Amino acid sequence: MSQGELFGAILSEEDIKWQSILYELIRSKKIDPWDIDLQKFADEYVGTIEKLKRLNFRISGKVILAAALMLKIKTRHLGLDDFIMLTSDDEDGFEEGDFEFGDDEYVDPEEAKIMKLSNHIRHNTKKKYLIQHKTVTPRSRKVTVMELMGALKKAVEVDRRRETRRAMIEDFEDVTIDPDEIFEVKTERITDRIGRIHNDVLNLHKRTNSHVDFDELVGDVDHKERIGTFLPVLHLANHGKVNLIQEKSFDKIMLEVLKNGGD
Amino acid sequence: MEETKAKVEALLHCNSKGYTVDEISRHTGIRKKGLVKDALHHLRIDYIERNGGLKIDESEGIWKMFVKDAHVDAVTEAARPEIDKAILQTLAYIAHKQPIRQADVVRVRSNKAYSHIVELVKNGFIEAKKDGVSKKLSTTRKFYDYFDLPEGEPFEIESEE
Repeated sequence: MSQGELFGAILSEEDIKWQSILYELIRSKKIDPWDIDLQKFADEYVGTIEKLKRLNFRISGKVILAAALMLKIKTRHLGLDDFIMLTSDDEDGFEEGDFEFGDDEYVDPEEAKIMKLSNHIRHNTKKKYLIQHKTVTPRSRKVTVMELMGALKKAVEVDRRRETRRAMIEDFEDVTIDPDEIFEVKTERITDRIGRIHNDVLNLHKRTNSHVDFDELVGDVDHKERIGTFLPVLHLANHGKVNLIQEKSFDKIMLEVLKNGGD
Repeated sequence: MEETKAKVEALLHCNSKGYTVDEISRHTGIRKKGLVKDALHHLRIDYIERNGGLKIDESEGIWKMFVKDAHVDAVTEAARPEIDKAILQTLAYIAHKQPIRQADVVRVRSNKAYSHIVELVKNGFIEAKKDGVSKKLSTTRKFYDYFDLPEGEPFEIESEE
């Protein structure tokens, strides 16, 4: 199997265990882990995406994972770990062991095997591939007491923020919330309410055989209840059951029952 | 001797963490450790006489080439500090609160503090003494020597005034 066929396996819509294929190719020396053409891989990915008739996030996920793994292998082979540390914008920077797998970090066993094998190859081929730092030597320097003081300020500030957060959570845990005190429980379904108000409108219309006065419909109630009645009336108007008439703003609202309004 | 000194110097230049005599012997292929030691002592004297910005010295069996304290400010931007930022914060916190239980450090500094503590103990900046199920952490003499701080005095945040 060639490099191209490996790309094909990763870009396949089928759930092929590409890690096993990559491992076998490296183990059988059919592929050089540091010499996989990632540019070509990216081009093939773009080509595959263009051909796809529907979106398949599984392929994108596989491609990102595979590219990251292959890039990591290359980086280590080229001895660029120190260079990455120097150029990283990460606020906390890289730490010792960031390139190793932690005890609590889940790592796909197949990927771990690939990294282990590529490390083995790296040790045997280090001289051949290692980039010599001719201009930049990643040297470190002594930490000053001012930097230690700055670090203490930051650590204390983080502690203070966490303490505030912890206190807020504890305060919140002490509060017992009664939902009934916050939310008024509505026992009437909105469709039932619309139907009830529609019946009231029809009854008033039968009685007077003329337009129905909204004030008469709603009766002597508070603003909240007026709105609670007006919203179903708007719904009835939207469905062509009634026509709302208001000569001018803030004037009386009259409801005209439409011909098919009585169903 | 000049050839041996040149090899040892080149090796020390490559790694600011330094090497033991055994490691230098292995890396350079100079089998006679006495020869390596002689080269190191001569190099140390050469650097003192040259009175440049660098010096070569030994501490706890590790030989290092490093920037002299007087010139650290000049390379602050160019060189990476030898203690990682996050580890330095953990060290500063321990120095401020010492003696402090490891569990309390982890509660404040997150689980990553476990690896920070291992690193700081390994480098001799702090010591960990058993304290029930946890450990009690405090700074060592090396910490005070390294930062040129008076030993035993509390490490407090400087006031802004």
